[in-house]
Amino acid sequence: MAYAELHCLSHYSFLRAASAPGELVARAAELGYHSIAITDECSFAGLVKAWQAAKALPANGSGTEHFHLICGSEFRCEKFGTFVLLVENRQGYAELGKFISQCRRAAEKGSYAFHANDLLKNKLANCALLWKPPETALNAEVDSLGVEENNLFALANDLKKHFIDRSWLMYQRYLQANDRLHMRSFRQLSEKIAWPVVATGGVLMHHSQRLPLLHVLQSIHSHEPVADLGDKLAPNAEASLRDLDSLQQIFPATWLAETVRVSARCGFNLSELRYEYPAEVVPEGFTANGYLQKLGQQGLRWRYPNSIPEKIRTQLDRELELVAELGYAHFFLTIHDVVVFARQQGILHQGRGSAANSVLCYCLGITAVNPAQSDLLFERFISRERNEPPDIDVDFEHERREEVIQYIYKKYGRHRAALAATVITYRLRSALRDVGKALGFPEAQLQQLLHRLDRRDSEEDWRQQLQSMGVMNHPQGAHLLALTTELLGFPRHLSQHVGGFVIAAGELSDLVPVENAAMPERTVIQWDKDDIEALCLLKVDVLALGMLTAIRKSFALLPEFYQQQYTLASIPLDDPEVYRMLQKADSVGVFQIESRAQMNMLPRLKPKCFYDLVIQIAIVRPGPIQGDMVHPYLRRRAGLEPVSYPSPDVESVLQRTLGVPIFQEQVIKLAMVAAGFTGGEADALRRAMASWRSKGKLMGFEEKLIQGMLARGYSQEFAERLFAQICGFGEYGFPESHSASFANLAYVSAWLKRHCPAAFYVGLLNSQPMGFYTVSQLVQDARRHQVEILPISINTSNWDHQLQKSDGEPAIRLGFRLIKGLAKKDIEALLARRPTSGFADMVEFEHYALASSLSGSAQEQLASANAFAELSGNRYQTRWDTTKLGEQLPLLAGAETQVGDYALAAPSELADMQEDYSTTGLTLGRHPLAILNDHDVLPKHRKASELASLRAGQLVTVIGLVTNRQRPGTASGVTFMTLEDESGTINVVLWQDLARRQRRQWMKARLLQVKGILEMEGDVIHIVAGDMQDLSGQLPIAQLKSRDFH
Amino acid sequence: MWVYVQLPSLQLDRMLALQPELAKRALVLYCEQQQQVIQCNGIAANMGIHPNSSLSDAWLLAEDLAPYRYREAQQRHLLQHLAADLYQVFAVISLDPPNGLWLDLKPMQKLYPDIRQSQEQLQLQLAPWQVRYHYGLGNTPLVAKMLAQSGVAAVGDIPIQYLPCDAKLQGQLVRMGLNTLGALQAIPRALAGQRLGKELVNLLARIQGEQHESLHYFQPPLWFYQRLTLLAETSGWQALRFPLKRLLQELEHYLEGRQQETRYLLLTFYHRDIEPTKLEIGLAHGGYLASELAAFCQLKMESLKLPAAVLEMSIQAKRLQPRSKEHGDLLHGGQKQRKSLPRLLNELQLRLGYSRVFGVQNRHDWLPERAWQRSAAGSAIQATHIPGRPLWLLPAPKPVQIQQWCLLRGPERYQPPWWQLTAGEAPYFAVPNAMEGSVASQNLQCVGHRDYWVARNQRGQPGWLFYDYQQECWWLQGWFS
Repeated sequence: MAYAELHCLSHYSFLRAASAPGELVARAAELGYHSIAITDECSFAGLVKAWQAAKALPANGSGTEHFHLICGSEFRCEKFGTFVLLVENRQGYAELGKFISQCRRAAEKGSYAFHANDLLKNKLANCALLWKPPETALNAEVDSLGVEENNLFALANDLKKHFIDRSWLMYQRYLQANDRLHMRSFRQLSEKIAWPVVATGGVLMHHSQRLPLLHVLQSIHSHEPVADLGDKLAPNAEASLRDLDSLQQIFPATWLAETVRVSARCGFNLSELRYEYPAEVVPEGFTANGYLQKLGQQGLRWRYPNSIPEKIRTQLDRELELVAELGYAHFFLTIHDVVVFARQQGILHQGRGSAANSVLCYCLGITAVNPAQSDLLFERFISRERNEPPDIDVDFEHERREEVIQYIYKKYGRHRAALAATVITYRLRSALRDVGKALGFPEAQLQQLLHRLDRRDSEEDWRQQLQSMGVMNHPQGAHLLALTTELLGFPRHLSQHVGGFVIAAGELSDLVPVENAAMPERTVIQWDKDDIEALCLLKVDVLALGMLTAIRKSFALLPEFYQQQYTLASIPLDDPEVYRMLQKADSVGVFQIESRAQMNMLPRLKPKCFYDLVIQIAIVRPGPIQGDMVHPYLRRRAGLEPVSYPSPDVESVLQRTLGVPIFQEQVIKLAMVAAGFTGGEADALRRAMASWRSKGKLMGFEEKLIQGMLARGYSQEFAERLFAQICGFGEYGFPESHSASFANLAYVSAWLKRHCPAAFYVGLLNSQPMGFYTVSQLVQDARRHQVEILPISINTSNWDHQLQKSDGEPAIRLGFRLIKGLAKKDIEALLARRPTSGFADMVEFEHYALASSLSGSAQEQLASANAFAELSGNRYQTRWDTTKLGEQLPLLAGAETQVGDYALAAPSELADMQEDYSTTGLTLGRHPLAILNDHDVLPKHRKASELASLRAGQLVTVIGLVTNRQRPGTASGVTFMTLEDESGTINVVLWQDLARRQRRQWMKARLLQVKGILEMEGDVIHIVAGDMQDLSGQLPIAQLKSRDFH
Repeated sequence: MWVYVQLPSLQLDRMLALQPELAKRALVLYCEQQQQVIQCNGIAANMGIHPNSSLSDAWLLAEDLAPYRYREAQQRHLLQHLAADLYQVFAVISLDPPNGLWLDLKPMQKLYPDIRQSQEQLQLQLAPWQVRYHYGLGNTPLVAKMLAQSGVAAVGDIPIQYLPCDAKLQGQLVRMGLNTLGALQAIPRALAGQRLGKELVNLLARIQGEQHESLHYFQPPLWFYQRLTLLAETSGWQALRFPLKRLLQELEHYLEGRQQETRYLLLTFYHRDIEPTKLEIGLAHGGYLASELAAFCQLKMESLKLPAAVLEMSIQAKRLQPRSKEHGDLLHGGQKQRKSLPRLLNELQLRLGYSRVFGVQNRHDWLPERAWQRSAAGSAIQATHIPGRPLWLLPAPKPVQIQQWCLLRGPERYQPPWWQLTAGEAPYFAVPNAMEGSVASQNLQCVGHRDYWVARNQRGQPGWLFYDYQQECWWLQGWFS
């Protein structure tokens, strides 16, 4: 007997089905099915995964020679039941894709609008139709039909005319009480409407063992615990893929035979999809390759105006040749078109990722990393062997990326361009919460478990942690662990990719259905980046980066205030002063290397050139840290340890990083040269590393890697170390090219900080929120670099912070954007009317405020921020004068003349500081610590500026505002804290046991006293905390904030 | 003159008074909806937990946290209960839920001419409660309340944040440097009104007693209620005796103060997932002594089996009467009368206990034994929608020899609830033996999975049978008519 399963949902029919597309395909093949259709509800989201699984089936396995995957989709309608459309050929695929898109676009994100009549209105000439009418209609006696049933017959007749010889009734049997009646009704209906009947499984699971998980999904969907669902749950596991013998016993043979007849009509295979590049990027009279050649050569002269290095010229020729050979010219031209638009609009941008390896990308203006500056390999970007589309991610200024997105939509149209999807999957916390609710765990108990679960705990995995919390004592404890494990990684819904566009030559829905995203005016396709990659579709990544905004804003100030003009590519290279600054860990605000962990590394690594920065960025990552690669690298760099390699092969891979693997590519390459992985295996390893569940997946490679290395004569210790390193990289690997692109921005921002500090800080401050530090911390850092900060002034400030000359030097005038609760448009309306010479007094201001409809509360906020300092008395008095809550009081009208005649006392210095923090989050007055010290309320302590003159190992006491808490994912569980006093910052290192013992202090304190041992290593000074005291009670300011990263 | 009594952690303090063992841990009461701490003990406070802390912060700060749900209704009961105690001394009381109450000292002046005497009485009444409190004395209710809450001595020093007005107005005052009530009162009223609005002017008038406060005065309730969270889940009566004793002592204290006795007690035992177990005790003669009441309770408790572990328990005493009154017999009379169904049910429930008299109701579930549930006695039965089921189900399935039956129609396959299997019964599934007469499946089947069939026995009677895959035998579940 041959059987084709024609109605099967995967877990991409969210919360309805309990198996992955790949599991369904593999199980169907294993059971000897003729074919299987994946028919997710109004969706193609699971198709590519199913197709990949079908491709991976053993070619000569029993019964799999002719195994075939059918593409289809299910549509449900309350009145008329369930419909399944199956694709017969390429045209049918496009028709169904368009139909799905239409249903999806007509409804909100996550749902679809479908009515059975839609099947009549749309062209679906190349699709087969299966129909399961609603049970109520079936159970009625055919002779005693009501109005509803008559409508049903009318629909059946219309559909039959529309789907000539392509329509079937689908019969499903789940072993229920009314099976016999049901079957008889089907026969009668089939005779009456003259539709043949075909047996289908209505499959929701690949295996009966998934029933508990299916119940849990049904429970999540209906927001009721499993135990309360009663007959709303699937009664048994019959909605799984059943073996052929069982099918034979429960379905009439003719209905089974019909499955194969339907399947035979559906010959389409996803491999037939041919992606076509958009044609308009090639001007008339050119071929794509010819035009790219021309642009490349132009770019070469633009990038190297004086002399073109021969190495670069040769490299460009080689790249152009390879691009032509692999047919990627359109891809480069499409991205070129986008970056030309950005350049014309003055939107700063930079390519990242493996594109940074390419001379062509540099010449096309896609990247800004000069390939002459580093020694990156183009093969990592495009290779003949991999035959994958190149990955070009372009970062744009975060505030202006939307302009680029709108340009793409405008140029190609919404029917041709859409964002890639991101599949939001169940992660540990969401899975645990949902399974817990389904099993009836009380909300408070789940909250307790979730709160206490430490994801960073490297010693115990989550199952052990839950067990040690006593979960197994609960009657459902074992189920909770088992089902949470099963649910992990299940897709929950589709979301939009951060910026990956798919652009088609024709209708995008011919390739893949398009649906609405949560954001208005955004559309996403139903496939994620892996699907796109698998089908070799073009994806243009349009990403957003705050630092580019900051740099562009800084660049814009250079001509006026520094008489210089730079671009990302023209900043002077390898400036020793910049590196000297970084070696001292003076990197607040510098891209990527401003965190405490990075600052801790800078004086140790002492970067001297661009490539050092590339390493610096990649090395302070959990991968190298957990793989214990940092210290060997530093020791070798300092000449304290010899650089040795176990073999010349390994040397070729690790030479650039002194024998220590630091970049993700090196680890992959090592697997190839040391363990004998083939290109395909190495690629699978790379994918496993990129997957968030990588640890589990990587375990599958352990034996092969270690055995491979042992067989090639490497030691067990070397093999195990390498595997540990791979696992470390798995979660947070950093490729070299990515690091190089980031290093470029790190260098440019450091250069600005060193040479044009006022412009640098203004750029950063005007791009907030971004980066690691609060505005207050940035302003304090600016002042430490002798940049004068001028207060907000009603007569001088603008919305943004700006540069002004003060004593001939550029100084920063703070802008109104700093004042909380002010609306930009209100202030701009006022500024448009502000006299050139400013307001003469409060009366004049109030006149203009009235004219520009500035609200009373905005005026009060301005008063409290002391913006009227030059016009009025103290800020309390100004606030009093601008407050008019009682205006409408008729009874008090007689007191009108007395307005303003009550004098309020001026705020004290402490109160002034409080007001500063309340309104703007920072103060330009004295540091809170300086004031507290004056009041003599703090215990005896050392200041930050004194620490350098003390001796290492000394016991010290320091007190400071907690400005930062960071807990990197290191094995030792160390926490970094930064304290700030009036003289500078103090770095505190906190070991896990102390952090546990003194949780309150490290989590909550805003003013902290730390007693500990002073450690000095070169220029690195920190205090290893031994005891902490929370002194926040001494602090009268509630608005002080720390930036916490844990 | 008014006194305001502020009870910042009334519910928690009472919990500690009844269960002193809890005092060793960081204890918080939290609001389940907002996951926020409402009340906490000193240990928790020392760890940095305070009211309004999020529960997640509390968990991080105190590993050994003992979190209990804050119950608004219980807080109300407690406040009323406390007011009822104070009512023995203070005639005019007004509740200010959830955490405070006012006492008017004026009517007490004849009895206690010196205010200090009233204060002493207050302390005396509050002492047995073992609760933390602050009180303030003022000429107006508002001043008394603000003094109690702020803890300052002088009215002028009351910080602005204790003013009963919206946070926005408070913020505005602070932003003008007006940090105390004194600073605000120094501004001419008309000016203050013009700048800051009518609301503030009215408030100042209330503070100074120029406007009358409309307070609702307390009347003592006619019953007693107390609820207690147990330290650990408890499944035996024996272990419940001690907490019950404490509750009964509370009751005794309450009745003693009022010279009353009770003729009706309702003990409620709360379980995790099922309906609470209720135990009613009707007393022919009233009682008030804890020991005496405990004996009655114990008699009843011994005759009732607890269906699950108990998490909390409560006691309610009604039908309070003066101690001297003669009592009638609750259960006497009327036996010869014809009784209506509700009356019959009432009497049965009174004699047997609520939990032993119940009705049945259909439940939407596939498995026959799960397709009904207990319901309130006397409620109408709703129709089921699962077709093809016999009306007559056996009280428990009966094993049958399949050779004596002829299978007619089936199978109807049902999965028993896997979530009722214990961890020891995992994995969820086992491989069954192939079975004649049923749909043999090579798929793995669920433990206890059943195939139902309509079958006829040798006498021609149609029955409803099932094959149990786990036990590998046939059972009769019911009869068709």
